[in-house]
Amino acid sequence: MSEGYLIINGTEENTLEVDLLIESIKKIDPTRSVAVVVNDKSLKFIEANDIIVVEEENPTVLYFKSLLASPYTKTIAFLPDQLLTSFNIDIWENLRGFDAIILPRNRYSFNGTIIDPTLYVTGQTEVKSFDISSIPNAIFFNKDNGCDYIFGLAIILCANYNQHDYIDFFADTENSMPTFPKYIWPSWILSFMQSITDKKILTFDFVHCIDLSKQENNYVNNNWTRRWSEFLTYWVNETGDFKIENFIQNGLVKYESNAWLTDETRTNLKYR
Amino acid sequence: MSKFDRGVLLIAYNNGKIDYEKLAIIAASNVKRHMKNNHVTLLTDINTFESLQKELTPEQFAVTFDHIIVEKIEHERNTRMHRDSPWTEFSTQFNNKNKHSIYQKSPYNQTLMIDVDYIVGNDSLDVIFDTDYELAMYKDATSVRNYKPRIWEQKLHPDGIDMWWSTVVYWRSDSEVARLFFGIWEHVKENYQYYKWLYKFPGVLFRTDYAASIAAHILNGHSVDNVVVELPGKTMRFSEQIDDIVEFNSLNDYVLLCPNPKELWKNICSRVKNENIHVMNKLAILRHYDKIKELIYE
Repeated sequence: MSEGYLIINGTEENTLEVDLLIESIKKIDPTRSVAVVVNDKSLKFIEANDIIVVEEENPTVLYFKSLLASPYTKTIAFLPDQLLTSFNIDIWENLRGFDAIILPRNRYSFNGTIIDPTLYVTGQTEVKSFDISSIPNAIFFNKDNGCDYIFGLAIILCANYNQHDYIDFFADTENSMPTFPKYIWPSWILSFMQSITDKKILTFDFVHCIDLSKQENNYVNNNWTRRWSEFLTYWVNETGDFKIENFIQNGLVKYESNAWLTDETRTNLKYR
Repeated sequence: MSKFDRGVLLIAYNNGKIDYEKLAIIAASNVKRHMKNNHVTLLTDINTFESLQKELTPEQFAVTFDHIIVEKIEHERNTRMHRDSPWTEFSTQFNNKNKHSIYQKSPYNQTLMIDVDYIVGNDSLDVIFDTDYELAMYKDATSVRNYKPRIWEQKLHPDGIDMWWSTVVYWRSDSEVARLFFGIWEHVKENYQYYKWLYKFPGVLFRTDYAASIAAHILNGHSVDNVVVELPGKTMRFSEQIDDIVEFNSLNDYVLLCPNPKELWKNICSRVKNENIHVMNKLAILRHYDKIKELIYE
């Protein structure tokens, strides 16, 4: 019964982010292994316990193939542009007894408020399609409880995705649903799987997901249609605490763009 | 000074324009009439105490206040703009800079401090005395027009921390959390310009709400957990400074005239009955003082 963390989508362009994420996980949970899924076998991450190469052109198929490639029976997988600043490792005890797949229930803003999923273009489309949306920032899955079947079906779905067929089938002309892109995105598939499988995918906040991503639909505070580091004050102090506007960021922080990762912030993050 | 067990603390310092001693009489009488934990202490200064003695007969005094603490105090300068209905504005000294010291001055083991412009109309606040909560205030507020307060009274900055109202504060004297909270409040007061810059809030007035909110935030470890608990009811009802009081039917039944803040000539009437209300227009209360006094001592 192995347990570990998996970072997916490691590429040559985001080695800095992946390194920071591995480091932040190891500081919080030094007992469990961290594996990284990469698209190039020449990529090396010194602190990673395993490097797994998955070559796939379709980004959504790659997402699910990466999850399937996890070397652990029970895995928590993270997207790479994130930082783990706080995590209760005792939650593993609870996760063992739950369903095949667990997703976070909410995204939180830097000040602790819950973010409406429809503020994101993808989230809005998922809500219009299924009345739910999914948060792919973190995902727990248990191979002992049959997650392979779910991911397998997900791969079949996104491998056979056809932009025009989906528009015809899911388009809701009455509510002017946005058109589908060239590739379907992972959280859409996860929302679809949530709505067609019974008790296989559960949502609860096993990690506090702080999401600083752009909110394309935020018309009330349109600052959020820009990069967060352009309009919020932030700093990492000498003890490695990451603060945005007087709020310490405790959780899994999705920062999307690495523009804020200056030499000073990176150095201070090491003191955490 | 020996400690009483439970009670309500009021603060009144006259400033030459607003008769706080009269507001204290109204606030104390409402506590006496509507709450069970109604031992009332007034914290005041010499001038206000003398006005109070002129205002009440010894018998009235005895039934209104149980304990008086008279301080010899020099108030720090703090000028505040007030509105009295939409059509009148005036500035006056606002004596609030020593509010954090209520922790040391309260004679109670469990204290409920209420501002004298908070009209208690029911016994809902009694509940807090029977809990093991250490520190409680209101964070949310709803006006008598059923609107949220202005953004600066919800958060210190649109991207900033939540504002906690220092209008009603409950604490236990043996609580370490409460001791730290009031200590940080004092520290924020003494370094107000720095915290104003750090938390990005506007204005020159020292606001105890802001100092208390920053203290709560620091005590929470700069996070969103809550060491401070919300008082019973979870939302504080308030009437704005532009509102006027039309008439008092009884101590906890009165009618307000509430203008629309965007179109001040448009009003709605709001009747408040059996509710606790923070009436920000103090002069509106005082205009009905004679009638209220009759209702109190009839």
